[in-house]
Amino acid sequence: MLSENVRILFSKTGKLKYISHLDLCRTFRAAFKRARIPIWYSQGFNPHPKMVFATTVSVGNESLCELLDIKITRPMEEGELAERLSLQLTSDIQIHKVYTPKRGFGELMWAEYEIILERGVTESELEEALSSDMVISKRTKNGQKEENIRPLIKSAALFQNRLTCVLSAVQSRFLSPDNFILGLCGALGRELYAISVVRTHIYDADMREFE
Amino acid sequence: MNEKIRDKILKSVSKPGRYIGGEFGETIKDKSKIKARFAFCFPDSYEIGMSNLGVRILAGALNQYEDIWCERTYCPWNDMAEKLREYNEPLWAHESGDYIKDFDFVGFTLQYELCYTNVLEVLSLSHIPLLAKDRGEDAPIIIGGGPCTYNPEPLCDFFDIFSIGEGEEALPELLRLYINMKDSGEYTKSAFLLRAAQLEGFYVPSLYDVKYSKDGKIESYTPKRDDIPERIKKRIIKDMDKAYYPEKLVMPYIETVQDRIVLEVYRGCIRGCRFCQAGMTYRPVREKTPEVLCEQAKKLYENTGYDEISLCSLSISDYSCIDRLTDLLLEWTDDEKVNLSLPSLRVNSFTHELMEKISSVRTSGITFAPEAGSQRLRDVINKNLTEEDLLRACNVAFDYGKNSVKLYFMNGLPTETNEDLDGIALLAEKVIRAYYENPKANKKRPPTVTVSVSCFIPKPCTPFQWEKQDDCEMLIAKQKYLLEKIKSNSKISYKWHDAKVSRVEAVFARGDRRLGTALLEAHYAGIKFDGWDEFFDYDKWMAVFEKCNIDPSFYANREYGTDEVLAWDIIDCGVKKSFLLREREKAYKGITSASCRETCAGCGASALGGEKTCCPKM
Repeated sequence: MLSENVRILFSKTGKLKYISHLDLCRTFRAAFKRARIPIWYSQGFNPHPKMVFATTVSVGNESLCELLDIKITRPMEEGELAERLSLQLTSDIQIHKVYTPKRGFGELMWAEYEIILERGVTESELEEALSSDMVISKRTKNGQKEENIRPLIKSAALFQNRLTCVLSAVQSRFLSPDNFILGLCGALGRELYAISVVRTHIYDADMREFE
Repeated sequence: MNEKIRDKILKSVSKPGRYIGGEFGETIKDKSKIKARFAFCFPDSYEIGMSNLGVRILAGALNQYEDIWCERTYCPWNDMAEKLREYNEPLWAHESGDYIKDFDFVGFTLQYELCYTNVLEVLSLSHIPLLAKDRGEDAPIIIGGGPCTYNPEPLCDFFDIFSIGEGEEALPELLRLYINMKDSGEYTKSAFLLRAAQLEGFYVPSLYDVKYSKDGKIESYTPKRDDIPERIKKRIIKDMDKAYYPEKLVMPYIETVQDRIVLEVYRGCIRGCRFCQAGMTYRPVREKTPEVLCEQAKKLYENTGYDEISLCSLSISDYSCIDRLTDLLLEWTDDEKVNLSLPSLRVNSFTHELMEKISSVRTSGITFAPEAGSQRLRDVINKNLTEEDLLRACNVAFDYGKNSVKLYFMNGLPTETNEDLDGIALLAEKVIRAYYENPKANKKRPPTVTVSVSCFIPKPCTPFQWEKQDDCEMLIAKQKYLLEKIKSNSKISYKWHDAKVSRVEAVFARGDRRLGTALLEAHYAGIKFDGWDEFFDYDKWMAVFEKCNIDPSFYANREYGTDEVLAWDIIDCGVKKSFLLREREKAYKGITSASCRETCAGCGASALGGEKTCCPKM
């Protein structure tokens, strides 16, 4: 039985990859309403439902492991909540698990991605790129800024044309797979185009699956 | 379809959510059971098209049938159009992702003249030949409907069929004819078009000849055969309570213009503003009963989760059961935290009771449309609204804490003088004075009045259809004159429409078939999204007209003779020409006409029939 704090593990694939985080929020908000899930609303002049996402996925990318925390005002069975919510979402959002969270999002450290590149890279190219600093130019509030992203890359490996990498998912030091590819482009001195990017796992500091 | 290329395109454009479909509530069908596929296109951006009630209704009406599948498509934004051309990828329909060019029908809803160039853009991006005569048996049938089809003539070169009037029943009938002819093996495009022309409410322009006289005016319209009607009578839904109304909506991922439930309360308008096309062409008035409306609203709420219901009609406060309806709705909307909004309020019927009921917490303002600044001119246009009415209505709003009022006016109305323009400024000042004199108004919050002025466009099927539009210089001079009058008052903000946009709109509103060449030329010149200030290019348009040897003044700035054959005479909108002429004469004498509910003015629309009308029984 769920009461108050609820965590939802879901995937966001297919057409949903073209949808921004903000629009995903609106989609969930309307779905909760249609599903008549007693979600807790902020008080005040313009009440809105409290929803906290562990991470965001940038437009163009998919994910198999998104976490969303909500609060409910009446106890509910896990299965019932999952079923009612699923009925109000398209098949591009799959609810995998609904449970009471045991750990805060602050303990989330790493995220693993599977990237398929149009024209791949070789193992030696990848090894060389990772052997030194990887500097990218980032647009920030104060204009362009150079940043070494190498410390934010835990590992990267090739399996045929699939590039698997583990990147920092700490909120303040978040490395998006798009920026990782950008860094790789810089190191290799050529353009790379990702056909698909999927977030496959999220981990805590000890590389245990984060739930 | 090439998924990889499509993915590449979508990843390179802004707001790809505009093009993907897959929204909650979309209709997916088993293709093997489908006998007619219809692509419904709103020829503007997704954000605008998704908000359109007509598309919601008609797509749903078609999808009621097991063997018909209606999908949606919109006019791709410029960055998308560029990419589609770069990759040579034709435009697709949202639900199936299949190419539009492979559909049986492509239907365009024609809501405003400024979208005509987008129609050509959509055809071009779909790889469908633009001209009807160039399209073979394999190309989809191109059909148009909506308000602009009360004069579809400028579009005749591009369309196979126009659906005249309300389409909930007519469109499924047309598709049934298509399916039956295909099943029985009788189908050829020309055989189908002929049979369509014989159905009530369908106009097949290629079956009619037009002759022009030496002075450039139209001499005659003649049907090419004697087994098709001489004029095409519009279709109406007789009983609005029984008409199809959607119970669910497609829920857009991205934000759209009208992200809410729209509940159509009734069709038509009891007023008879002489410039207003909708007020004439949606006649006769037909109401829905409050109980039916409340059920429809409830179902839509359960299926969408929207927290706002907008009550829609040409003049909502004229609905004869407005109190009963709002009471019924408030029984459950209050508990569910659902807001009611009532656009299109008339000052005459704006009361404390109504104000009490409508959601008003979020907005600080209210909008009214006096249309003209002086009583004289308001009588000319038959607005039936006095200064006292307006000030009383503003005071109601001020009593409830509102401090901003938006007033809509029109420049260039027939008989307008500087005194009428002075009246606009005076009226705005009086509203501000009323705020300061209202004991309940919060004087610490200063009032604001927005004066928004559009340009009069003579529209077909109205008493003013023969009038000339002021030329651009005159309209701009009037706008400047008014600016001088208003600019010293910091509490009045003044907005006006671009006179040049209105002129192009006027050309196409009253245009004839000869304008087809201009549209084609405009398309080749890259003209599109004319309804968007950032894309509208008047000089380009003038160059197009010159190249095509078309004088825009002939259409926009000329007073048409009352004995002239009008391009839209081919369409019978239900309202008789003799009535329009009578109203025009009354306008010049400054005599108003009572609302349909008070006296029948004999417009002729009652002959179309209809339930819960206010027409006298025949």
